[in-house]
Amino acid sequence: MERQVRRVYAYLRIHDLAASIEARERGGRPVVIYDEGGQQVVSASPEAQRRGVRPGLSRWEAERLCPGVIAVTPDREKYEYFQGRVLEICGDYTPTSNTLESRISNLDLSLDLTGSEFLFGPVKSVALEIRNRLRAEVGVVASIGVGPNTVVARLACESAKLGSVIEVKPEEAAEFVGRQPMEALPGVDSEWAQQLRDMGIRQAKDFAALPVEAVERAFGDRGRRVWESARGVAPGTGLPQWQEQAPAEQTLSAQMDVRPATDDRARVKAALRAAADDVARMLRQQGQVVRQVEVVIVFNDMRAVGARRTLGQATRSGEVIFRAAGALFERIQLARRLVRRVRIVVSRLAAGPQGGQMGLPILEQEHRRERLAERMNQVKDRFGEGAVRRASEFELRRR
Amino acid sequence: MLEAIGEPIRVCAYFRRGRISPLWFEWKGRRYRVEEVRNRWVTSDGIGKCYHFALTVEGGADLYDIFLRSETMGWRIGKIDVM
Repeated sequence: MERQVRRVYAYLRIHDLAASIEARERGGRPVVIYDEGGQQVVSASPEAQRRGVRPGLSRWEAERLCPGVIAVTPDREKYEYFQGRVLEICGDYTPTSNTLESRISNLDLSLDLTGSEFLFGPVKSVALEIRNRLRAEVGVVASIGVGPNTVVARLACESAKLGSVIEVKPEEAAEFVGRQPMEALPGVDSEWAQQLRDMGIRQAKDFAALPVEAVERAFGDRGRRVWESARGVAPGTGLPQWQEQAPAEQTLSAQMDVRPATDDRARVKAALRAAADDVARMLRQQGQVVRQVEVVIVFNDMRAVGARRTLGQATRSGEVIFRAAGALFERIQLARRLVRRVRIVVSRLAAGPQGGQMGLPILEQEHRRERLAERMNQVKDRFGEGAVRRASEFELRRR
Repeated sequence: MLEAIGEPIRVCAYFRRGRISPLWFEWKGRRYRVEEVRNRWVTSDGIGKCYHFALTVEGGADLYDIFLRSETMGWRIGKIDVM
């Protein structure tokens, strides 16, 4: 009698591989790894995450949430060795494993487990065994999704709790994928998801219900691939689709040097004004708006302090960002320390309306300021950064 | 702009009454004379202590972070804040 072989894939995400390894070497104490500038968390060990530290937080915030957290300089050679150990363990169950993403923060792998059930038993048990061995032998936490193709497996992995295994059976795939928001599907960026939301399409099932001919007419080949994914029947392994999708930009920042370093608050505010204008310009270029503004003040002894606030309304206005940054700066005591640099970081980005204007400001004066900023940006785009400046920026050059 | 370096360096420093004062350091074949130590702090890398110094050098506005690891007694240059 011939056995029927069904395709089965597992998608495996190892969370914070680097920080977990470093924490294990230090007896489980909380560990973080910062970015190259040493200001933003890129990876946090599970112990640090339990205290609220997560990737994307600024250094001062991580240290506030978890006093005594250990900052480690990344050692890529060491992580490559452990990554090799992970692949060896997976290789005990399947010869077909692909490393899809390898970063300091996460390591993503896709495993083709087709046929493995005849050797090792039910696929979910295989996935649980892999997870347990990774924890015991390498000391890392993995979440695993199992499905009839890599798209379903990845979506299952992303909806799994940290360190758990979720299996989606072939007969459940369409319903499971249908419940996902559109931006969860491969090939759908935030801008397209917003367009679809405006058309009333929020979940994958809404998109899957459209006639395929209409989808192809409106969105071409890309639309067809996404439509197939939305029905839980991803073409091939789905691999190229995931690689197409660029990681979403999480924050934007601009900084301004204050030369010479100063404790004159007016000059620091002039620097904040220039940084806010730069951030607003980037937002306009990228067609995005922000909900959160953070100010970092760097002193001339390498110390830095920061503060953050959430705005009442999403904006791309340089004036609004500057007002928020200025208010945050008012709360920071300089205590005779000299400010060397200011940085404005904006986060919680979302796609905004195209063009320079964000709806109609209530006050005519604000409307005029926005138009002026738009014109200044056009001049800068055409003639270069130094072509036009605010008079307040000359404050920065005053000794 | 901050540049992360993390390379070993040679340092000449005073160790007196429990206080460390770097005098100069050599990096990439060039000697940098310390003009002013602006800040000093201690961190832990979980194995030993790291004694950090934020300092300026003669003839430059850049700010350097150099540190001594107690475990290896080796010096490294951590970051440069380039103006």
